[in-house]
Amino acid sequence: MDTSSSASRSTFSRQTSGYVLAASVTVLLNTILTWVKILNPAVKLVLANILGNHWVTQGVAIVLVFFALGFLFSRTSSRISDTTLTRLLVSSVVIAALGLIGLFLFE
Amino acid sequence: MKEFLLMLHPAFGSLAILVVLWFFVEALNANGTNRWRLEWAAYLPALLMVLTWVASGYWYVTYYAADKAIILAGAWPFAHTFFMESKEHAFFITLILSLLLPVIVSAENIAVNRRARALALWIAALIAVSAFAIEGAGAIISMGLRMGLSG
Repeated sequence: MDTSSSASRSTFSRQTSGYVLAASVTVLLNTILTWVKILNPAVKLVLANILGNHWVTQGVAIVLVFFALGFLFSRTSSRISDTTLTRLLVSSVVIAALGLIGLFLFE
Repeated sequence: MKEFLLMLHPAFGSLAILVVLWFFVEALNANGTNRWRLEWAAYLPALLMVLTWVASGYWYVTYYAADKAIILAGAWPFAHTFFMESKEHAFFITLILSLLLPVIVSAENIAVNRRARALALWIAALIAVSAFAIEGAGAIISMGLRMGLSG
C-alpha cells in the first residue's frame, strides 16, 4: 500500500508521464473540438474541406496532436506524481465522455 | 461486398475488446515470464483499433449518408442524433487509449512497478468499457435503420 509520501513520488519514465499527460489533454481537446464544430457549422465546414469529411479530419488531427504532445511532454521532466497522473487520465476520459454524451443529449 | 464492409469494423472492435481483456489478465499476473505476452496483448488492441477506425471511416464516408436519411425518417431518429453522433466522436477516446497502452508497456516493467501496472490496468479497463459501449451503440443504430426500413 502507498504511504502519503511514496504516493507523491514519480516512478514513471518520462515517456510514460509524457504520453499519459498527452492522452489526458487530447481526449479533452477532442470533446472541445466536437462541441465547437457542432455548435458552429462554419468550423465543421472548414474541417470537412481539409480532408473531405469533418470526422476524418478530426480523427487525423486528434491522433497527430496525441503523438506531437506525447513527444513534447516526454522531453520535459514531469513533476506530477504517478497517482496524480493516473487520476488525471481517468478523470479526463470520464469528463470527455460525459461532455460528448451531454452535447448530443441536449443538442 | 457492402454488407461485408459494414461488418468489418464491429468485428475488429470486438477482437480488440477480447485482446484487451487478455491484457488485463496478463497484467494482473505480470511477472518475468509473461513479458512477451503482455507486449502482444498491448500492441494488438492498438492495431485492431486502427483497423476499426479505417474500416468504419470508409463505411461512414461512403455508405452512411443513405442509412442516416432512413434512420432520421424512421421511428428511432435518436439512433443517429444521439447514439451515432456520440459513438463516432467517443471512438477517438478509445482510439487514443488504445495507442497509449503499448507506449506504457514498452516504457515500464509492469511486473515490478506496481503503479505502472495500476495505470495499465486502468487504461485497459477504460478501453474495454468504452469499446463495449460503442458496440452497444452500433447495435442501436442498426435497430434504428431496421425501424426506418420497416416503416
